[in-house]
Amino acid sequence: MLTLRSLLRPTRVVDAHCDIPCGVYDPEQARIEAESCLRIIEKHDASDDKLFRARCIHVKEERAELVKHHLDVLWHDYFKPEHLEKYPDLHETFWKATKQASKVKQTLDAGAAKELLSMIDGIDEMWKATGGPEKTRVNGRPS
Amino acid sequence: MTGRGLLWSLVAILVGLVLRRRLDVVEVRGRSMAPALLPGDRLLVARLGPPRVGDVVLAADPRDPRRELVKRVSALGAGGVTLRGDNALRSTDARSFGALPPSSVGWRVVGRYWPADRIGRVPTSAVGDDLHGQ
Repeated sequence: MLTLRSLLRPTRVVDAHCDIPCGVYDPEQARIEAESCLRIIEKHDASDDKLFRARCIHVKEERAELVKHHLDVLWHDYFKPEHLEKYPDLHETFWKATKQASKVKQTLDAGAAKELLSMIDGIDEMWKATGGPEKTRVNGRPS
Repeated sequence: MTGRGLLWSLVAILVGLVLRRRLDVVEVRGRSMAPALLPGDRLLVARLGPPRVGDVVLAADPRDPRRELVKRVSALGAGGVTLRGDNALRSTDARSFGALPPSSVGWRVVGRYWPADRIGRVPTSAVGDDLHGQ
């Protein structure tokens, strides 16, 4: 029977999931945000201006969140099952790195930010070894 | 709009929905169009003329034509229609973009009819959420 309810029942689901992947990936994007975190922590520690320190904390948390976002994109969009065969600890590596980014978000520990940078460097090695620069950047990585 | 005009609009919408040729209803999944559209929102969509910049439209997903995307038109040009999610950081990649052939964009979002407390038109331009602002 034709009812108002049946007329208003959606005929299909439409996706607001994601944009079309452009295929450009580079751990450098996460690294730059992580470097920002480190420098902001240093500036925070060197200042005795309460307002400036508050801003440092706020911006550092935003940047750390961006690190997590960029690492997530690499993890679930760039890396493929065949990469997992080559790097069985891939999931572990990303899990630890994103956890480290959370630590940088929550604390003002410069050591934690340095540790995050070295973890991103490890991911960068995997990205390079799997042909990332040639496959995902328009003209390779700028030197 | 007068009471009579509103009544006739509703009748026209119902007749259109019976035919389903130029009017249809869909449900949203995902958050890339937040806050304009939220998961579970039910939308009235219409196939009436070409899209304009700022419109929220449905487009076939170029990776999987069985899937349909709901996105906002950010540009129209010789290269095609460029679509973006309003909520860039919830999208796969803020830099993602793709010009689609105009033929892949057919339906335009007219308004939301569910949930009841948010019935109405969908804003034609994105509400900015600039995380980079300092």
